[in-house]
Amino acid sequence: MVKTSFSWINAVSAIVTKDLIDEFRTRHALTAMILFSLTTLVTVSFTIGIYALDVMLHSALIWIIVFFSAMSALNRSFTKEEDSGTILALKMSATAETIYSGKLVFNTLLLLVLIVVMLPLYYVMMNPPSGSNIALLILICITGLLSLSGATTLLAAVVARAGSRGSLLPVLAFPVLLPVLLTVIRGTGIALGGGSGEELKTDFLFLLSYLVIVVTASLLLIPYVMED
Amino acid sequence: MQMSISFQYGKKVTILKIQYSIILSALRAGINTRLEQVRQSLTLFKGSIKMYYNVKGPFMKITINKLAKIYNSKKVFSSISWQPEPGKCNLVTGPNGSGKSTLLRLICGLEKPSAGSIKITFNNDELSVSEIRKVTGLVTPDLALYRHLTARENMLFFAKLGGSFPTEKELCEILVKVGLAGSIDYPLAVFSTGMKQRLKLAYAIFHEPALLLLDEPNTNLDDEGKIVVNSIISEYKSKSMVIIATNDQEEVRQYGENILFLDKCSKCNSN
Amino acid sequence: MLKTILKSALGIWIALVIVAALLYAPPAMGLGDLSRIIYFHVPLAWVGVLAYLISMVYSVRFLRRGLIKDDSLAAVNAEIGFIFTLLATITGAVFARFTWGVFWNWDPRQTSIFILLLIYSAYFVLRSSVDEEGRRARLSSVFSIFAFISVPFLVFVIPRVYATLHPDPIISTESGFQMNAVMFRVFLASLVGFTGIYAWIFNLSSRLINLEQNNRRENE
Repeated sequence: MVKTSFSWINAVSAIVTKDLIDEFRTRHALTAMILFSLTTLVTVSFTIGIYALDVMLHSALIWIIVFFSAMSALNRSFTKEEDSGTILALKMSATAETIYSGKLVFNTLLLLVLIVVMLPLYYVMMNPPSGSNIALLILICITGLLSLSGATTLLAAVVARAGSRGSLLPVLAFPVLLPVLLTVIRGTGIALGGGSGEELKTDFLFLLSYLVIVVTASLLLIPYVMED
Repeated sequence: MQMSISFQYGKKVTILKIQYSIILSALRAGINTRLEQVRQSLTLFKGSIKMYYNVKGPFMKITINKLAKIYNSKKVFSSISWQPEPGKCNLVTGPNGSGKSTLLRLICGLEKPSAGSIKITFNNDELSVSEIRKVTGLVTPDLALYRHLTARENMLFFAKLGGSFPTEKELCEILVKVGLAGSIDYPLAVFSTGMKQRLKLAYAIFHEPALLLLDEPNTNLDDEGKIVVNSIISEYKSKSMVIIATNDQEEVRQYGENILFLDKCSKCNSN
Repeated sequence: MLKTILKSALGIWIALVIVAALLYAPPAMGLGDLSRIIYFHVPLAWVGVLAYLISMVYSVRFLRRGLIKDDSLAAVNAEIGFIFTLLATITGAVFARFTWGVFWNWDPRQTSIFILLLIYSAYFVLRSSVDEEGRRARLSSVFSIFAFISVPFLVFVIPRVYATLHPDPIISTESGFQMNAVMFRVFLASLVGFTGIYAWIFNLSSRLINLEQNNRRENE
């Protein structure tokens, strides 16, 4: 058998491709996430879509929808491994840090799909005021998503090992994610209102540094979660 | 009066400073040790290939010393001392609940012992948990492979995790060995339990492990499957350390060359 | 003997503090008698955060050493911290009602203490959903350490960035709330008293845990 020099990238990409193939064939997390966000969006649009809302309110609505859809989707990455019993084979073949990294990338990709589907639909159904800085909006949404998935992946692992009760993840994640949510809602509001990159510089810096801190802490803590 | 106020205030601030610096240094020390461990495990991956070729079963020594395992005040076993021997078929047996599967999990590092130790050495170098896992092949009823992936995708995935890229020929060879040649491209959801068991065997021996742990290898298998298991065990007896855990008296008779009999713990329940 | 003396001393100290807070200390200039709540509210909040910190330290110790005792101590500290934080929130809300008109208006400082309450509650929910001892200890320790990441941000950054109606903390150098000497003395005495109560409850709980552990070990 050809044995190459072991590269961490190979293992992480193997886990990501495997999860993508699995998701493509079963579409569990994807449907749950998209249906949830669509239902919420439709409800919101139906009831208050006709009013001209302040940009801050729009941004808050976007992130409420994204947050709760993300909670239902991110839960799945570790829970489905636990439920089907494949976590044992995974633990024997890869270290905890590698598993975590693979799941982190996969979760980020899932959330990117969410934003790609949801944001245009939001524009169509809710009519936020024109004059928003689109590029900045997309940029801040993506940065917010990165921080969201970075913080939630470890907690998803904790919830999966704790018996994967469905409602546990939002309870655990909310206090940890609050700094991110506050910053990103404020930033999205400014971007929707047509602000420039200058005003959002501190927000970006904060989100990126939060991402680094949270991913480092997760990498340090994940072996204790995956143990036993 | 003024002096006593500033003295109290100064003392409070000093105490706060001391507490803060203690906590900070403890955190730093903790983070440093963890970073060190992470660094070690990452460099281990580079060295693992060298290790792969060198770690061979016959030179592996396992010493189990006064091992005990307790779950939530329920004692699974209290004091086991054993030495599995290379070149022979080592067998662990006992009634239900005596801890056979637990012992296997403890050996390959999936769980930590409550007391006692397991030392696995190769050429007098003690192997760490991640090194042990890399050279172990495990088959248990708890193990499951990915239902929505085909047999080929499963095998390729686990091989890639270990850093190897097998050719088509090698893949087919191993599946022929376990008798699954025709089902290489079917998803595991359509496999019967016997076929799944055979795939588990293929998964365990694909990377030619130096330590082969088989927990009830004959479950769900028909006669042909049992012949497959027999041939695997005979083949690996000489080049790896083989430890089997089983209930079946037939298997004990057939394979048992170095047998450990676990008694059901009599003081199992405690308040 | 020493313990009894210390306990009674603590009791007398707290009684004196209460009397001093309500009668001896002078009312502040702007707020009047309402300022007396500072002698209760601030020490409660301080002990709440301190308890979380110590609980996190014990969680770290547990992950390093693996002794269940460390995890039990972490849980006990979290319980104590939760009660103190709850009381701090309530006293703060009462103060808010009489000063600013409403009990709760999501002032940044109120949000921070609410988040601390959420972290504690999440910790307890997590602990109650795992049955097995070792796993429960490991998972709750990991969560406790991980949640600590957002605490410095909430406690230090948010009130500085967003405008808040909450009176500035004393220890900051640009405080707008100068304390007169008598008030300061009573305040410090109250701080010491509440920390003493926390230390006493912690001591009782840790002795209880030790007894439980010894009892369990004897039964095995």
